[in-house]
Amino acid sequence: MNNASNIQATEEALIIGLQAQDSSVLKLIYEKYASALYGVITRLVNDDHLAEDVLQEAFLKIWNNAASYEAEKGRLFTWMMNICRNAAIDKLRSKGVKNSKQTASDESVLLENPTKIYDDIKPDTIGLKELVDKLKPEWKQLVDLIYFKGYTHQEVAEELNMPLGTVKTRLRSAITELRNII
Amino acid sequence: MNINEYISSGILELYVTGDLSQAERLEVEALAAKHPEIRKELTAIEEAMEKYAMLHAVEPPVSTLNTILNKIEQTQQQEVKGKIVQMQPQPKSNILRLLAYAASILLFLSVATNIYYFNKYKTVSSELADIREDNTFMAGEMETLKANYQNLESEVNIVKNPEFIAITMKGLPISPTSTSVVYWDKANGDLYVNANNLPAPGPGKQYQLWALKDGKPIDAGVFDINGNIQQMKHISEADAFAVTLEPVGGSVAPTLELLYVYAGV
Repeated sequence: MNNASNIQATEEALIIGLQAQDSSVLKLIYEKYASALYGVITRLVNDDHLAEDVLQEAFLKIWNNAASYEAEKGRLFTWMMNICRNAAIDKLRSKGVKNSKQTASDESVLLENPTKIYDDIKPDTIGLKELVDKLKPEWKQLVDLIYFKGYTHQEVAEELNMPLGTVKTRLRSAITELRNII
Repeated sequence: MNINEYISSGILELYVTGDLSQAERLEVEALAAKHPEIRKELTAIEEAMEKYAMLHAVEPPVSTLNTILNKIEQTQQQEVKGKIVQMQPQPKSNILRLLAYAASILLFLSVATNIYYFNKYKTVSSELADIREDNTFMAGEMETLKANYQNLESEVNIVKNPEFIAITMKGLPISPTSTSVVYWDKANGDLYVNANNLPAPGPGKQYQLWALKDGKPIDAGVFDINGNIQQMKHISEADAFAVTLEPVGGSVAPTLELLYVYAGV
């Protein structure tokens, strides 16, 4: 609990600094969150060079739109993640680059991918990784397709030939399990 | 609507994983603002996904941060130069903030300096007032000393002047220990009296000096006991001098019952 409230306090301080347009605070935010955001971006666009562009554009948006972030609507990370995700999707559209999910639509890649995603897991979180590995593989796959690969639940339903409602409840079960683990 | 059903529908997870349309997002946000249970659930999901993303973090290229910071700096410089007039919700540039910081620091320093000097000024001016007071007091002292000195000088001149003769009047039975001295210049009649060990005259009374010539008293004037040698009336001829206690202002004839000191010339 203590630790959680400490994290909360830090996040609050970061938000204040960001909204006051203190670039040294943007640097702190970058140091704290950029690698997690980049992890998602790089999986979404599947191209290191593009991923770097997207991260830059996303951070400029985070900076320029700081005033529009409302803490009561959700956590800073969620807000930044949405900016990154939208920036990645915009980038793919503008470049006419095929979304990685088209590449992944081949079933073998799709099945391979969830495992591949764990390859670059941070070494200092190996204990946690093992716990996450205990998630049912099909649940993990679901989370990763939506969260890391930018699939919509409709697309997942089509891909996995699963009713839409089932996708939603399975995603909920998977994340609830994740909450218990993490 | 049933909140538990809404929560278990999985829509909150879709919200956090970024898989909702704009309209659906707004709906989730509105409901979360209204129902604390939804807000709480949403936060728990957010925290879990945040940790999950951290777990899958990939380090971006080392140069990316500097590229971002440089771009921000360039934008700010352009804004300051006025090349870009961009109406942002809160267009506060770093340089303006820096100037504001600097201005407030300067203001603070200025106020602090003012307070410091004002206090110093107050101290100094009260010290100055003290010194002025001292000075006035010293000047008064000086005047008194000067007067005293002049007095003493004239007294000394009288005592030393060979033209004056000193006549010591002895105490009479009414006050045997009293003595008084008259200094008299026979040639021009100048007369002074030093009668400082007579008893205090009491209210409404004053001592009077008499010159006696051929048995007749001549009024030589009244005097107070004030520590000084006092000049009296001119007396050109005298066989003796005496002091009596009289009503204030003196009498025409001496009250012989109150004869204090006496001396023949």
